[in-house]
Amino acid sequence: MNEILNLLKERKSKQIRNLVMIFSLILSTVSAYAQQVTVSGTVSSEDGPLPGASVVVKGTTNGVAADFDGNYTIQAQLGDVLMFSFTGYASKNVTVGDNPIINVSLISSNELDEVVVVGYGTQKKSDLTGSVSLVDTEEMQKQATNDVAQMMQGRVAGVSITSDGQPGASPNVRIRGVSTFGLGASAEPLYVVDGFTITGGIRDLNPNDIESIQVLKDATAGAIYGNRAANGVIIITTKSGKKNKKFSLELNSYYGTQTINQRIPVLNRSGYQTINAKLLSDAGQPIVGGNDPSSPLYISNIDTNWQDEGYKDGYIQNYNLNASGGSENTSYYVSLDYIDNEGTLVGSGPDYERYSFRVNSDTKLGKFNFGENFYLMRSDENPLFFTTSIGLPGGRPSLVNDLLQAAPTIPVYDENRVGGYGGANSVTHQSITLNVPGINSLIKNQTQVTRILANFYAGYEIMDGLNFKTSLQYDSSSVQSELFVPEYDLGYFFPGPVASLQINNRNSNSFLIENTLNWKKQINNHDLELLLGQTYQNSNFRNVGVVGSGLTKPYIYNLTNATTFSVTDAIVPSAISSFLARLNYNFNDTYLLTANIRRDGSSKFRKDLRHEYFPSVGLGVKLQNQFKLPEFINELKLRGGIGEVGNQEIGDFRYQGTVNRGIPYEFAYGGRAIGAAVSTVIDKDIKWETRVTRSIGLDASLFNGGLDFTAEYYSNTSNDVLTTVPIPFSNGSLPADLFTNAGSIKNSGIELSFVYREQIGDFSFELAPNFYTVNNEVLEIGGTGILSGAGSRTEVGRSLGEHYGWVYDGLFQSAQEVSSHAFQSPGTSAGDVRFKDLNGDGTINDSDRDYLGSGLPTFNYGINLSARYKDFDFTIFGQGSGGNYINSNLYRGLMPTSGYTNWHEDILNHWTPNNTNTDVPRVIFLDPNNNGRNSNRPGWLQKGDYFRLNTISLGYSLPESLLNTIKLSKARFYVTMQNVAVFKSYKGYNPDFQAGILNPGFDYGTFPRPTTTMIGAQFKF
Amino acid sequence: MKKYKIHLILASFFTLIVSCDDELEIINPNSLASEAYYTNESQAIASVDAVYNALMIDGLYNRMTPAINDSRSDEIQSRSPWPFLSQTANFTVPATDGAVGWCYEGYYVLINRANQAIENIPNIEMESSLKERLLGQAYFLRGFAYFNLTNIFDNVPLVLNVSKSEEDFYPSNSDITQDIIYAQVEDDLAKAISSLPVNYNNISGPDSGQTGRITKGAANSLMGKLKLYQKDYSSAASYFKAVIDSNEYSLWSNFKGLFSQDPSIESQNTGRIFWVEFTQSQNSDLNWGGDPNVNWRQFCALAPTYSGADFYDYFPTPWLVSEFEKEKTIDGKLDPRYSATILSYRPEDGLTSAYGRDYFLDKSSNYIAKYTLANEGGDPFTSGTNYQVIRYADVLLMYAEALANTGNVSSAANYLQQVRDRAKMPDRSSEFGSLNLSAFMKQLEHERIVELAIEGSRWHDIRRWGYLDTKLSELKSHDPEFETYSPGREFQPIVQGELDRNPNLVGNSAN
Repeated sequence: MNEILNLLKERKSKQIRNLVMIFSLILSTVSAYAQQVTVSGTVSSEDGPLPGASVVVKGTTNGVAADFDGNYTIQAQLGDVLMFSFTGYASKNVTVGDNPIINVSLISSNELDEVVVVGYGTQKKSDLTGSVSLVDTEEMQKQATNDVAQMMQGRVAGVSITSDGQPGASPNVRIRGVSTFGLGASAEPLYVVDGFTITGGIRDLNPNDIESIQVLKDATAGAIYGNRAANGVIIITTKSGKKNKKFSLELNSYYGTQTINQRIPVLNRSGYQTINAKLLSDAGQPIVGGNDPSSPLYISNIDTNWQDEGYKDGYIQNYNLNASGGSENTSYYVSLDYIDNEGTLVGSGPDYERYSFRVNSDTKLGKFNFGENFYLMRSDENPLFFTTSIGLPGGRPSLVNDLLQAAPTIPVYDENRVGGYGGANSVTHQSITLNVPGINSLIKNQTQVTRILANFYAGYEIMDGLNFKTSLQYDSSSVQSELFVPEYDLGYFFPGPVASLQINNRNSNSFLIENTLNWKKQINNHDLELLLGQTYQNSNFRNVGVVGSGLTKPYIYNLTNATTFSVTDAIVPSAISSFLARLNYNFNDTYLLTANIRRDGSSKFRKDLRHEYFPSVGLGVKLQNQFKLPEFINELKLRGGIGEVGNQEIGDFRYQGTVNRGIPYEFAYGGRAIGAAVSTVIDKDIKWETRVTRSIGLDASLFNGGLDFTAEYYSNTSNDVLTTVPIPFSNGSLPADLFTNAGSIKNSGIELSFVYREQIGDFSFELAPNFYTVNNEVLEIGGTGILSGAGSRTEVGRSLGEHYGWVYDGLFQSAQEVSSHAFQSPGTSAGDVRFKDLNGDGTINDSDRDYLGSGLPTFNYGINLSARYKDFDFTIFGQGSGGNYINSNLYRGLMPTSGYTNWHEDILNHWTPNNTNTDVPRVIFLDPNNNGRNSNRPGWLQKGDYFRLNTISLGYSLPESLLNTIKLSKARFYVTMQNVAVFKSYKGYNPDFQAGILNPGFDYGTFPRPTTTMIGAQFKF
Repeated sequence: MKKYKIHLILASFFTLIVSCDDELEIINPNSLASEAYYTNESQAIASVDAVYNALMIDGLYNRMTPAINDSRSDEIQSRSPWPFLSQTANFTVPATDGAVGWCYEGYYVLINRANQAIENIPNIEMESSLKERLLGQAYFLRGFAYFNLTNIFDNVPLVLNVSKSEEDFYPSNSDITQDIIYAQVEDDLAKAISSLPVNYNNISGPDSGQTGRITKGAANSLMGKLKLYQKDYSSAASYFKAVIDSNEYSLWSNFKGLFSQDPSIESQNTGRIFWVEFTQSQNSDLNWGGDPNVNWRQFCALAPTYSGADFYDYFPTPWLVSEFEKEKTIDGKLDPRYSATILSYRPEDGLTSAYGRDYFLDKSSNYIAKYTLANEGGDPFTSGTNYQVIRYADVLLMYAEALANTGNVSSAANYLQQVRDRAKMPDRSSEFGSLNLSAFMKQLEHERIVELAIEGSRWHDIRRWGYLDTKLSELKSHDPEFETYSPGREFQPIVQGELDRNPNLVGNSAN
């Protein structure tokens, strides 16, 4: 009974139209002769019996309807084919054989019949002309995380999600490539929750509340969101009750431990000392005392393994209680949720904890309907801090790099230092080494978020087919953070002589009002739907921060205990006022046309540049209703569309030049003057970015739900891309960049998604792979035509942030080889890297650089397999990408030719006159040949291809017999392992790291993802 | 009836759209628009004050200008793990190292602010003598910035107007030479000399009593220095004479006090002519650079950089130590300027302390004391030691150089002796006064070394006296970093990023 997989989260059961017809068929049945068999059995689905299901002998009018329990009896002949069908499910044919009992379970119907939310309304998926993907939320929710966006990784063709590994990390979501340079413009998609465009991000949402997620990938679907849809739209709908359904209570919970299993192999103490001593002595430099065996300062008793000291096991647990039901007129859904995730870094974070409450209800009374969605949450987290915010000097690398580079000669604890943690001193160690568990334990970093997301809507049916709806939404978020840094001493480079307390209050609220008029009309074969709408949204944001320094022990965490203060205050109001219209036309359920237009007016642009129209059109043909297709093809739709959307998220007040009136200088007489000057050169004509999307696709449903697939080709061009045209420093502008709309980027590719379903007896499974490519090409940049990033360059005709640098040509083996090659530097010697003289001019300089590989993956894929056998269910999910190269700041920072920080084990293979067959150059003080420069020397650019086995889950549901005795309607227990393994050749932690847009292939140093092992239980009463 | 309803709804739609459009005009609530500025006297003063602010950033006197000048000379040597510092010191820094540009970028921020003041102040209705003084300060600072830029980078682009549109963004330097820039500096300084007061005590206005603002003496000193660098000795001499004859300045007996961060000691310094003010403020934001805000500190990062107890990026060369040991005072003691310049453990000379307590560093090593807090102690990241850009002793020595080169060695020797007297050095004025020019210059060179060590002058002296061509092997014996010197490297390269940004820009001899 329960072997059938439920593909859809929410299906609308329609009324059985043909019930009467079947009864009349029964009455007029002509009984079959010879070989008559009385066949009986039960027709059911995963949800239970299907009362009234139709059982018909194929090719005849002999048919019956199943009764209230799904049981049927029918007369047939051996060899007859019985057709089982029920609206909303895929029909099934079974041949009559020896067994007179034929039980059939029907697989729920394919997605093409499903109703999807498209923005200001719903539409049947089979009628869509734009690119809309549904996320399998049930499968998605098998992943344990507090962040909805993280769960979506790898599940939708065209949607790329990259993330850091710590709790609370906010992932990058990219739909069909990156269409902006990210220089002041956001690259994030628009999020719509329960019909409302939210500005505060979706990190605070409770994933357990989510019913469905739709991704609008092109303008045909997204133009209805106009000036915010250029990066795509993600529509989230939360759960609601069903009318006429009795009260049901559900409890879900899981607990899992998290461990960082990955280790980067770095040197131990003696290895570190040997390499450091060698590079100094080979250059005639004195060896620093701590690393010199002949010095009294030599360190022999400390050998810190920083990864073991810095990582710990974390855990994640979630408890969710929800109730739903409905009477004839009202339905409701209520949920309470708690999630707690303790991270894997030793110290005061990162951790994340959240409580949330939701109540959704909907009521229909005659011509009126109204309802609300109310969500309240409170989270407490210790976020991973940025080293800049606690005043660490020296342009620090990321915390993870610091942990790996820390010298093993430094102890974790040192009671002689203020704070009690170890650090380096300039005479013994001379190493710029940060004690990461130390600093992370000393500081106190807490953030609390309280958020309310509330909306109320009311609709009225003015007349048949004409509906008016008004909606109001209020989104309010209050974030308070506190960062306390005590006095500490973590070494000569990190003296922390002054304690500081930093308090930030960020309040934002957003108010939205929306009015829509919806008109549906059917005239013969013409189905029309017209939507007119008006919306106004205003938002306010204020961030006030105070840093107080000079607190003394015993520490009281109150700003009045500080002695000096500095204050920041940023106020950001904005508003958007829009008018929208959409026409859906369906001819004969065969030809489809959708046209959208939206006019947005935004406060972010100058008055005469403020308003713009964003149109789109899409066409589709349901080929199965036009041509006679082979029987195994149930639905085949060809669709295509073109449209334009905009990106108004370019920051605020950009077109207004301002004077900085806070430029201080204290003169000798003791007076502190506050000067004023215009700091930045600006462009007054600045406007939004636009994206023109074109796509053509084929959606098919075959074999009665046995196989669905979608194949699509897209080609999008973004124009007026906000770019910083770097202007010469001689203009004295801070920053020396001019924001202006001058860029253009193209993204194109193919997307393929399949869902294959199979049922063999009690075993059924669904296999859903997706695959997509992104071919990114920059068409225009403006300014000098070049944008530089870390080790990368963006130029017209190439993809964003391609790796750029010198070309590796092996290592010099002798002084002769050095002198016969082009001049590199006065200190170049045997063992140094030789770079190609690309222009043959006898000198290696900046003209000898070339493009070395793509920073963006060219293909991405995900694959989900979920299977069922009797009461067991099993899921395995993985995703990956490839075609890119990675510039690993993490690895390069562990392989310098010179330095006092620790090395990766690979350095042990460095060139010496006795070890010449290697690609690791010699180690030598100051790296005179600049071996560390951006190049493609082995290890400097690494292949980014990877496959991550994200989730393996095994579950067991108690059989019905047991459930009846304990009065439960469902009980399921499961074990899940998350982030099981990553298959990669990359030597950093995460090949799917979060990166900046102009250097997508630059891994600054991302926090590793833990492996989670969890057990969970679900109960339904 | 139904139609009426529909029309009503549609009509209300449109009214809603129109009324909501008014809500879209939102002015930035965080700061004042630039068009509304430069209208009154206090804004004029503020625009000049903003120019001073640029003096305290990393590329200027917070760290880089002194560090790259001192380290390239034979006075100090780098031991820094930061490749930029070490490679600058040994003349191998690549143009692609972004830090090479910090100096260059910083001076242009100063120049941009000075241009804004020079362009806008004349149009403001205000008291004319105040207007003169403000413009004089702006002209001085711009001239000073270009003087430093060309001494460090040679043929930088000349930007004398605020950039307004794309035509202004990409100035060319293909016709620029150091002489052309020197001529512009002279132009700016001449305007400054005529507009600036001798001091701020005898003027009336809102800037009355505001010691620390640029004075006529500062402008005359800098103009003299410019002339000296151009080898126009008689002209140089006349400017220095004007400074000396003004009687505004004198040599202060407390040499160590010149480099104290204590404001009560600083205010007694009678020899300070042009300096960058630093304070012991503990404000939260360090003044490295970027868009400033009122939370900026005003500290000098030479304190941690030069200090052997902190970053310890540099140390004094043994040769520099030996220069101080060449001659004893009239009491037979070590030159008193030694301990203000170099930190060592020399109990025989009474030097047994460091940073306000007992000496705790390596007793066999020498460390830099000047501009660190070696003689008083304190938090290096709140170091308020003012940086003496031009001080009276320097003017006296430069005057001596100018006099000697115009045939007046005996008079020059007297001025030399004034500086020696402050350091209690024996009176050898008659001996020096009868030397020939080259022998006198040798002595003058020595006096400059011991008086002005690690104050950014020695490198430019090496450069302008042609030592990189004539005495390279001697320099190498003072400081092994000269081993990797190659011709063209008397200048720092123009940072590659700037050459990438400006297609009209050509590099200099170091690129």
